[in-house]
Amino acid sequence: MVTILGIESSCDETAAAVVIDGRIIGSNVVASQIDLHAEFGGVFPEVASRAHAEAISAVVEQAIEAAGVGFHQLDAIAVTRGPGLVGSLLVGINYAKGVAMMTDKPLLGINHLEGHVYSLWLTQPFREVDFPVLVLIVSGGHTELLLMRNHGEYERLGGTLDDAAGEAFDKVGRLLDLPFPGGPHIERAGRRGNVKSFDFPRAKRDSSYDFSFSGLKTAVMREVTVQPSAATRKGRKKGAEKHAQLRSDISINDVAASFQAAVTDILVEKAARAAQEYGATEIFIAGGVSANQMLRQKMRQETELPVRYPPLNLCTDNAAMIAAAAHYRWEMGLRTSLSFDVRPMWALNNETYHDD
Amino acid sequence: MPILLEGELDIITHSAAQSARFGARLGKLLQPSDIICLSGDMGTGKTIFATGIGHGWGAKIALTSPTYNLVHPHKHDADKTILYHLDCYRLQNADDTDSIGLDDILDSDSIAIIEWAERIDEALPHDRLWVDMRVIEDMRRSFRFQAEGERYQQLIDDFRAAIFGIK
Amino acid sequence: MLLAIDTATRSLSLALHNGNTLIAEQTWRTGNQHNVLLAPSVQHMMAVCDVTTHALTAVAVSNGPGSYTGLRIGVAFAKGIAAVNKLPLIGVSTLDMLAAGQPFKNTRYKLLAILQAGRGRIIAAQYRVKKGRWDALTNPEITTWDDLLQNIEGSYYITGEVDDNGRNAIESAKLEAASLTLVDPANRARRAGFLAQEAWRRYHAGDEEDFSPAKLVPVYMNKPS
Repeated sequence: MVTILGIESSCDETAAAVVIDGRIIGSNVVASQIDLHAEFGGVFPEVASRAHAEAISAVVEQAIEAAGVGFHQLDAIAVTRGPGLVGSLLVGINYAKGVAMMTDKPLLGINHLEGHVYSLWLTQPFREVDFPVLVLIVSGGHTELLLMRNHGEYERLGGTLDDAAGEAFDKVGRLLDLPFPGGPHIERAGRRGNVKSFDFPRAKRDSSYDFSFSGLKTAVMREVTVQPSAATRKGRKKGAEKHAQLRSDISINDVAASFQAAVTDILVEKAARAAQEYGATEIFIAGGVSANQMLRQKMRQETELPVRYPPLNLCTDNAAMIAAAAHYRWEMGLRTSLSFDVRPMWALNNETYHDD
Repeated sequence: MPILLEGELDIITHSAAQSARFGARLGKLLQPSDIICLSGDMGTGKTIFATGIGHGWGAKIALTSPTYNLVHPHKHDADKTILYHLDCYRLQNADDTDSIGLDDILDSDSIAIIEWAERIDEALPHDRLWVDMRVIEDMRRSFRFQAEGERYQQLIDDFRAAIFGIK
Repeated sequence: MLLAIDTATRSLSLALHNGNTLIAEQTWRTGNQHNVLLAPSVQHMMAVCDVTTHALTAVAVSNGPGSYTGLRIGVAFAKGIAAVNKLPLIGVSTLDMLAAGQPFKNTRYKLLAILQAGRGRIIAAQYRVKKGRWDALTNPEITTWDDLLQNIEGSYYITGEVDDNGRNAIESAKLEAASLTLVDPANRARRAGFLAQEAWRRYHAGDEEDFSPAKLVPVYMNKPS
């Protein structure tokens, strides 16, 4: 039995988890989902986002306690090394270094995108994987299409050239005055709308496996907003908030439905085509946007291959996926030295761990 | 009335590709410590322009939107210099700049391109190149470049020479 | 045995202190290499001093003011160390550390402790001698050398991060009501031995302060409280 503590702080979230044998979740704690205020009375700042240095102790201690293990019973410490925001990554990394030094246990610096891939291995009940598989990672910060030939073997087929898919959801959500995060709210509104009301562009409909969502966002904006008149434009000051106004005669449900259709169409089309071209045995979708029902449904319709996605709580950033990925890296012999540095722009491919 | 105001430059582009090409011209002229602030509504093409700047400067990996991760540190293809591509869309105000380590970035001698700079104006140094971007219609965009400080006056002059062939 | 860590600005300083004796101390300028150097340096220092991880009974860390990146590295690492064997974690102000390192020859003098805040700005706090040690007279404030020197009265020692600009400002300041004495470089350095000493004092002061790691919060550069 191999027990690994995972720590994730690549961007907004602070998370910790204990995973056994890369499959069984002993605990899975995410800072924004626990009441740190109540527990640590007043110390915790109001804005929880990116307050990793404040949250990390409470989050890891809770993960260790909930899993019913002690730090000394761990077999390894895993932490997200990148990609992400340097100041955020550094908190998880240095906390992990402290724990690794004191327990004298191996330390593994894990790629965040690889974590998303291994969220699939945490699905219960688990079904064995027959490689190669086609992996689509779609989240607020990433849109990656990969061919996974084996554990730790990835060929990057393509990715976004501008905005990430999840970012497009959030920004269109903001345009439609929907609450943050945009994804779930657009999905809810879209269910009551007509997907054919607007013919939004499907960008990069070419032979490449790259994506582009910035033009789609602009097209939605053009449809739904009133451009500020010359008069208001003149009075606008530098530094003032600039917000386009939502047209009053527009159906938010229809826009949401049509927008969602455009995003999912292009994701599904390219993933299915890549799966076929590379002879994949199945398709994995991971990351926050993989929770989207239209995406899941279309993917199943578009391909005869089995389609897998992680349970909802593992779609968004979490540390269980980092510990799960670390399990396979641990088996492959990865050990990261205490001097390791952050990798804020770390791509996932066959060279990812080359220098380690 | 002078057509070319001291320290200012107006251009209009007719496509995203053209915006990126202008960006590349500007990117070629950048020096260590330069700060480029991009300001404008959603959909004005800030990221496209930034991608062009990064291309012209010589970024190893093409620039993509940093909205989610807030800061993308880009390495130069040939030397060890760094270009920080920042996006303040998700920041509340200038106080929130702690959480992206803005001071550490501005204290380094790296280049910084800052999208949604108007959201954190108070936290930015006075000397910088400010670019106001607007949608005119469909694909047409207007860019107004404003120099604050000597270095950026020079940068605008060089940029003007690069795109119009005149000083 | 207490381990003390300071990564608040461009220097890095480490110390081991057993309450009676300073076992080890090292201080050097690292630029922005804290993340790479911190953990291996602590490990190496403990190894050469024959201090095992089990021997540690407390951890101290400078919790600001200081640079965002530096502080997060030091605080997170200290929290990780403290977590494993449930050690107390004592946070000490970076400026208090500087003051603690300053001998007082003349109690009429007050002390100005200085940190670099980047882009020509500094962070400063005033101290005076009270009950045999330097006691904070003002909260840290972010300022410039010119503004700082314009508004002071009395006799001061100046310690901490005084760069060439600061030295020039001090030398050329037209002071009517103040006299300034710049402390020697060795005494100006921010040394973890004094961090350890301050931490011991606070830990044994019996003020029922809560030293659980979760309570420790870094104070960053542009918002000194």
